[in-house]
Amino acid sequence: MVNLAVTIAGVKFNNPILLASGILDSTPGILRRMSQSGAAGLITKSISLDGRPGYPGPTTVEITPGTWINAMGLPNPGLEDFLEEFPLTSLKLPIIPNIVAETPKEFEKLAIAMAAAGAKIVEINLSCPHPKAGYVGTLTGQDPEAAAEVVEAVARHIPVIAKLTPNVTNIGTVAVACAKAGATAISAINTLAAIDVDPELERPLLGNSFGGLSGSAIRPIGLRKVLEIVQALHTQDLDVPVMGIGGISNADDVIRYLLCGAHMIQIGTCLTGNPEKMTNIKDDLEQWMNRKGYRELCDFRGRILSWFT
Amino acid sequence: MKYPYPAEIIEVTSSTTVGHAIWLKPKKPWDLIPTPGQFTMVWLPHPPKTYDRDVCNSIPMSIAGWDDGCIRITVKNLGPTSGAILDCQPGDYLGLTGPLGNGFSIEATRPLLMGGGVGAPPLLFLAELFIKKGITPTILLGGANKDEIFHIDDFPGIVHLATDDGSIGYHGRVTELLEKEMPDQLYACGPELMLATGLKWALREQVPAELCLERYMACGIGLCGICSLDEDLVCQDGPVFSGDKLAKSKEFGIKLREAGGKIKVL
Repeated sequence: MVNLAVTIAGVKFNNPILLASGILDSTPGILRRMSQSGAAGLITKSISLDGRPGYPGPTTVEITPGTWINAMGLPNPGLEDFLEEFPLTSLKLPIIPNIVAETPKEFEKLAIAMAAAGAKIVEINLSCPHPKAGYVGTLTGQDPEAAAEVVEAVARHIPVIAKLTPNVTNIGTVAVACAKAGATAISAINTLAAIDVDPELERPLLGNSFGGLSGSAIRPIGLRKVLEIVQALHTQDLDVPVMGIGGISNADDVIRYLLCGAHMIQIGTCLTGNPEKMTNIKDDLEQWMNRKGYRELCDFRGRILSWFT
Repeated sequence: MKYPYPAEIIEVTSSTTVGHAIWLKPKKPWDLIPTPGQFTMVWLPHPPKTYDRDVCNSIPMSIAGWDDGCIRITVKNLGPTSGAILDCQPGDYLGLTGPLGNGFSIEATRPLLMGGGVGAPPLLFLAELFIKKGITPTILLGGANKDEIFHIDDFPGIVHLATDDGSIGYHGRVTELLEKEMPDQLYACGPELMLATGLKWALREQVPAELCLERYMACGIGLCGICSLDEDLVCQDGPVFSGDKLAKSKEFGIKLREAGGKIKVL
């Protein structure tokens, strides 16, 4: 028998697959549906204190098969409306609220509310604009100190997964700063900063002009960033699990991230048009482990790390 | 691919004083022939003269017709983007992603089509397909007044009209015209409360029904979930749903969502 279970911050997940934030997770109805999708836990759309309508369209465009550029603009109904409509403990599997704010204080408010509502763990979206003067155009997750400040504020109230942006020179430094500030886990990567242009219409493809790249094409970049994070944490003797994100669309991709040292993975973009896909991915992972003779995820986790020393 | 391919406006016909029908020719032909009830995300990529850039947006619209690769949409001035699209001219370009969602079945032998306001355009497309199959549909069209009824002169088949102010046809709700009909299938598109009334009638008369819903859509392609109706995505599992399914819904006819997912009670 294969055991796929993973425990993080005392929360037991039946398998290492989570629904990534931002995909099919914005309303109670669709979260209910995704709770049957094979994922061991669901991460919600980024929730902010006040609601946000999102950016004008196009918000999401497939630029080459399986690879997408998007700028949704963090649409969400706001903390109060979200919690009122969706009790976090109403589903059988763990719900991980993703929260987004502009200052550590606001992050803290959100964390307190989510903990009070029954969340056992939250994920913080650090791809928000840097609030400090002198950092105009910078994201919080691009400054290790600023990221750590947010982690510290949230971790006082609830275990926290720090979701990192890949748009940095050294993602390992940011991960180490977050881990030292008390992060329970690190998740990476968020989308890659991107734009695209329609040559006939002679304008940017997205309503917001700027966007982020996700889907199949970014998988090798996600793997590299996860590798760098895992190595950096090891070097500092920080025992903090990593969740791999980026371009995962089948069990092979899950295995790739686990071989790079990830404890869990998150799936998003590939569910577009096929929300029920995660059950197959989980089954295929189990089959692969059976075939290889692995009984636990730790039997092969991080197996390829020695190639990169 | 879910990409807003450029499409040239080749003809604009004034259908009522509150909107136009627009024929578009995509530069790259659509991979699939659309069925009535399916929709397309319509992108206004450049503001027409006198408009600012902030009217540019991408909004879902029913496909109102198909002719040899060209797509008809019928636009009503419902906001800054649709208002600006109405000022576009032949030769201008829009972006079209589609066809999206699931359309109507076209299997009835005595079809009854009921449209309210700007819900009529997909039914025009449906009526044209029934006529091509040699079946004459009965069509009920309603609106607040004469100008709010789209494609009055374009519909083939037997057409009955109803207006709230009595400016044309029956003076009252279009749903009141249902009592005289005995179809083997009801197809409806329009305001949700009209659809809910139509569904009640269909369930009582045991007429199978297919209803085409409208929801705020941020992506239109099954990614964001904001258009969800219970556990379904209107953009992907709809926008056409069976009456049986909607009869069990906890949201249909009761509430819907606006930008960001905020609830609006109907």
